[in-house]
Amino acid sequence: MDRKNKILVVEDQVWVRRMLLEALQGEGYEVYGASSGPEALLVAEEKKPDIAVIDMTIPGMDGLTLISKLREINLNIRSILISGNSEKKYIERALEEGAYAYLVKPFDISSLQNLIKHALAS
Amino acid sequence: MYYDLVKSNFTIIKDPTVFEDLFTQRSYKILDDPAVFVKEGSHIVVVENEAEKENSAGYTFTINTTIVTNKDGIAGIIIYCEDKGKSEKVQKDPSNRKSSLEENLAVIGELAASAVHEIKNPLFSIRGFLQIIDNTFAEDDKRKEYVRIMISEIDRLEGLVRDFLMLARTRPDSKEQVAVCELIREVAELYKSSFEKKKVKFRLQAQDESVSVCGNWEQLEQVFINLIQNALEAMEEGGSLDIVVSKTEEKVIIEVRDNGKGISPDAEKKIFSPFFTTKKNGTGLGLFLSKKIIEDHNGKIYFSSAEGKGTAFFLEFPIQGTPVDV
Ligand SMILES: Nc1ncnc2c1ncn2[C@@H]1O[C@H](COP(=O)(O)OP(=O)(O)O)[C@@H](O)[C@H]1O
Ligand SMILES: [Mg+2]
Repeated sequence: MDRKNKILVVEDQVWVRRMLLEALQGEGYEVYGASSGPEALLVAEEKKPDIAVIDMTIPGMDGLTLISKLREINLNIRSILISGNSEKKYIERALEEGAYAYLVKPFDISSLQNLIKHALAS
Repeated sequence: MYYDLVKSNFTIIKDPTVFEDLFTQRSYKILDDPAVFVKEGSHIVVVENEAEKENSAGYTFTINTTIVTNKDGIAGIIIYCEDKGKSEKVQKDPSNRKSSLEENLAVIGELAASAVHEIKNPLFSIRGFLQIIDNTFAEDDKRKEYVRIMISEIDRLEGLVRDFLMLARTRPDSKEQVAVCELIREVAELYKSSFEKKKVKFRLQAQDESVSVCGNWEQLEQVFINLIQNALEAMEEGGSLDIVVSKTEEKVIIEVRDNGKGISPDAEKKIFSPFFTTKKNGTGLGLFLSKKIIEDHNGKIYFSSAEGKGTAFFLEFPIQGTPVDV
């Protein structure tokens, strides 16, 4: 049970990705980054992350497609979507299609940290 | 070569020929095609097709590349190409050009929308890094306060950018019959937890629940978001927010009334001006924008306020039959 929880961050904006990775590493997780959908799938195959933090508009495939493909690799993975889009319909659809949570950018990083704690505990 | 790229959505190329161009240390040449140079990140690339040079149409791809490295160096590149189809060559024929002000504005609007997107991401990373820094300071460190100020300034910038985007989108796009009460309820739903938190009692009264105006849903939604947000911000110690919808023969009147702190006589003349704000984190664009949207809808907005007692905003829209295309 001493295994560190693994988190995959999929975000194409390089400094946003780095920031999220550092913020989560600081919480003691093992973190991996990817900048596109296809790359995320490669990393997920190899590292089997527990949580994926996914930007909605990454290159390669949209965030929702990536969620369902990640599920094929690991049924128990929890995906948290992050996006600048705050339209209600858009968010509802994302949650219906299997996202564990949806955060509107820019958010407080402590919200993400809390959400991940919650996701791992449940 | 580009045809291959289109067919295979996703290619791994071993041993890429590394190519350093003048502008960047991280450019890579894909195979031998001189038309495509990419660097890490996302790009739009137009590939000219030799065979079709005469009509000089190109193919547009969005290309995203990721350099995969291991201890021996570069192991390969992952390239993702999205075919955007044949790019339309800009029509040079002057008879085809709508060189109107309206078109220029539309272009500016589009530009602003993507600029906003480009601004938001760096703001977000700056904000996050500041929070990381903040966690490294002791509780009584003065630098903690500086970080707090920086974060609050970033939030203000973010608000400005968001309002600008709304401004850019304010075009009399598609108009439809908008059910006013339904729209107001939907906006109020967004504020449900804020109402509870701030102990604000919200009520919507309507003479006729089905009353509608001809307009654009998203834009009108924005107006009510601005008005409700302002009302909430004016009521520090709870209060009540009442929206009353009524109509006459020729118009729909919507009253948005709060019993917050009111508007000072000094500020009254200025509240619709861009960037006028009395709030620490305000943008001063909310009412300016709302007024612009309402006027776009052939309506008007006015208010009455008493300092310390409250404020009421009144919106009037003309009643029309079903919208007809001109
Ligand atoms: N309901 C209200 N009660 C009191 N003052 C208000 C209200 N609505 C607007 N104002 C005043 O008008 C100013 C401009 O409002 P607005 O354009 O929405 O910008 P902002 O909310 O960012 O300050 C506010 O800063 C405030 O002083
Ligand atoms: Mg406002």
